[in-house]
Amino acid sequence: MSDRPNPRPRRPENASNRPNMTPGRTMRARFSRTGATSWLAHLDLMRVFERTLRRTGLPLAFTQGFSPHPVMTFALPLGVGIDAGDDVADFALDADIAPEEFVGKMNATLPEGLRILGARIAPEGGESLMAAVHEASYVLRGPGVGAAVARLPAAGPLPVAKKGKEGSKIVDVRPLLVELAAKDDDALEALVKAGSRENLRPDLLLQALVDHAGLPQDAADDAETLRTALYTTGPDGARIRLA
Amino acid sequence: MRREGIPLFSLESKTPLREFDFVGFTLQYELSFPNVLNMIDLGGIPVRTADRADDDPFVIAGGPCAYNVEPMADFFDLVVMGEGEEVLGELLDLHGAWKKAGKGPRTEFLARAARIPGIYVPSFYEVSYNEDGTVASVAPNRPEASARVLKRIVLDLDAAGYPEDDLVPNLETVHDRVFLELFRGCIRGCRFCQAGYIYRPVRERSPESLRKQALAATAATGYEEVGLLSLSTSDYTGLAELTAHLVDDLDGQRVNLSLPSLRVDSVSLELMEKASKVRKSGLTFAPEAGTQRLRDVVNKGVEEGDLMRSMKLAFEGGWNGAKLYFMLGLPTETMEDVEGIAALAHQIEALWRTIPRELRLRPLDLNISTSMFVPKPFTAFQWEPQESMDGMRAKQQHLRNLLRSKAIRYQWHDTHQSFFEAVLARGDRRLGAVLEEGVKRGRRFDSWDDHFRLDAWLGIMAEQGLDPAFYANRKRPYDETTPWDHIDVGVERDFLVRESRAAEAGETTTNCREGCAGCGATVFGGGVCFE
Repeated sequence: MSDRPNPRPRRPENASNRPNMTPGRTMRARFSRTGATSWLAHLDLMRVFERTLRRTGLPLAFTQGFSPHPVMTFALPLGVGIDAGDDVADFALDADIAPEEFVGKMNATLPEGLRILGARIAPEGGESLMAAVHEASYVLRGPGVGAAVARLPAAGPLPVAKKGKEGSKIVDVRPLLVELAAKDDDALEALVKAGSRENLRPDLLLQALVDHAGLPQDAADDAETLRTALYTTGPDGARIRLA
Repeated sequence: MRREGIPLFSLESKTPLREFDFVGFTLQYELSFPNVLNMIDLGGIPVRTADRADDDPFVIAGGPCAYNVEPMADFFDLVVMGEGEEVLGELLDLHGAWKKAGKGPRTEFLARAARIPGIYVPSFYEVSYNEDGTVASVAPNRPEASARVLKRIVLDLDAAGYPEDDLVPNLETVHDRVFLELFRGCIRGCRFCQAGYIYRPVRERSPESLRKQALAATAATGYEEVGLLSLSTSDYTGLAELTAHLVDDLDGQRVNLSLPSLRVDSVSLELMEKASKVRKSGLTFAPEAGTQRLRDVVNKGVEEGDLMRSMKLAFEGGWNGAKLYFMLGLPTETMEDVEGIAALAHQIEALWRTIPRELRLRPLDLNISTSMFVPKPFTAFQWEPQESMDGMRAKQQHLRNLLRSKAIRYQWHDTHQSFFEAVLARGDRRLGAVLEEGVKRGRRFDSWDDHFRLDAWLGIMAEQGLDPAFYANRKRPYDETTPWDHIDVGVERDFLVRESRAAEAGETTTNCREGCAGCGATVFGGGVCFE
């Protein structure tokens, strides 16, 4: 974790290629999070999963170094306050475990709000889980959030100020937006670019609705955010749900 | 929470505090008192016991500051003196039976609870004061209350039942690990140390039960680290046996063993190497005072030679620094003693230069830290005045001027907080109204120096006609009735007087294993007294 100096850099994205691990034993799990656990920051969420894995007694593969941690990879970090409907993470195991056993033990041990929806043995080699994420779908809910979609200009740039560690910079939301539709007056569905190359945070999408479609700031600040799914791109360019 | 109308609630079931039968606080340090009052109020419970109705919870307390709970006496229905393992069971049984019988007035329950040994019901005692403001007497006003309340302890810690499936927080917290309590009490008898007196006598747990707990607790919680807990880990007689197995056990589970500061000798260095593998954990020493004379006064059994030998071993073992803790304002301290701190630091610096160059891979990093001496109840120094804030600041400044080396970092504590801590530590019931008023005016998180405002507290004390120096800076005569005289921790007052006189004479006292000094803790019939 971030607060512990790690003498050897951990490269979980290559977990299945590590020399000390047998390939094909990485469990790819789909999970959801709701309720209080949605307020966990990414590092805290990782810690909760780590302690859960340790409690299950499953044979885990650990990182090397003086402070060993289970090898885990989350497809895309979840921001604070964001519910997950169907996210994906890899967990490296040290022995052959049936996916059903993994799911059963995890769900018996995870804290309220986190659930494993399903698991399979991760494919060997190839692209890492994090690099595979290209798009994400969200449902954003709050008074007037859906109605604002129709007021958003149909074309042209949608500049929004993105606050970073060193001041804010202007980001154009338009090219990061793949699909946007109102569900009802108070909710919208969006498909946006996601991953390490291009990524649209849902709060920036809400800010675009404030800046360019007259959504009240309060409605944006208090909106509920649910990430419904993550997507990758198939060899033929088709959109494939990550699972 | 007040603005939104959300009452303070429990972690697991989110139940508002006011719906519980009992609400318990551990009083770890004096500056937490305002926070405790704020929490009672946030929980929707009347802050004063006198204002609570029959269906309000019983607000109870324990912990080291419960032994002089007088500044908080108006706010707790009852207080447990000593260790809670057995008392709490008896208290809950009593409450269960009382509830089944259809309850009744609160005082009825408190009257029954007061008969349980170790339970103190503050409202059953009347405090009267002399004209000079000192306490004249603390006397029971009900037949159920005994004139003195003797603390309760557990003699067999192996049978005490430690929780293994503790709550695991979802967020990173302090002390975020499994803890193994090696023993309670301390054999050393440092004269300033309240913990060293109030937890007597020393009782150890067996290495086998600790090892069992370590494995069961890590399996149940998933914690990735185990820590050892005690007042002086090097004094644990089973340390070698415990760690020999534990390091390997935990390594198999990929769990770290984090070591507390140990007295540095070859054995502990080897252990530190083994436990930390790659990382070198920091070394900490607490000589407490800069000269041997003053270390003898406080009965700190550390000699300069010990420290230098330890530092040499550490430097040769690859460490490049240490943290040294001292106290300023100890009884009889002079500027010469303060200069002794700098002299020790410079001696360590000189020692560093004698270490072969190939072992000095990084530059020396010596950390000198001073806190203010705060006289505490139930210690040999309970009659001593705290030095004035001006005097302590002058000493800090002098030391800063002496420690100008690049290799030495000097850190010091805020005098304001230590002063108010001294007021509360030996305070009486009149301070209750001060605390209550402070909280009403928004005082809280006083242990965080950016939230602490001494002038606000002193203003309230002045309004109520109380003089902080009366509590903090006054030399108290041995025959003065203290606000805590009706509480008995098993260490006799006469022993504390003897220790106070020995301190004046610069005479040391043997530790419990070298020879019994006759403190009175034999009254409990176990522990190191009968080893």
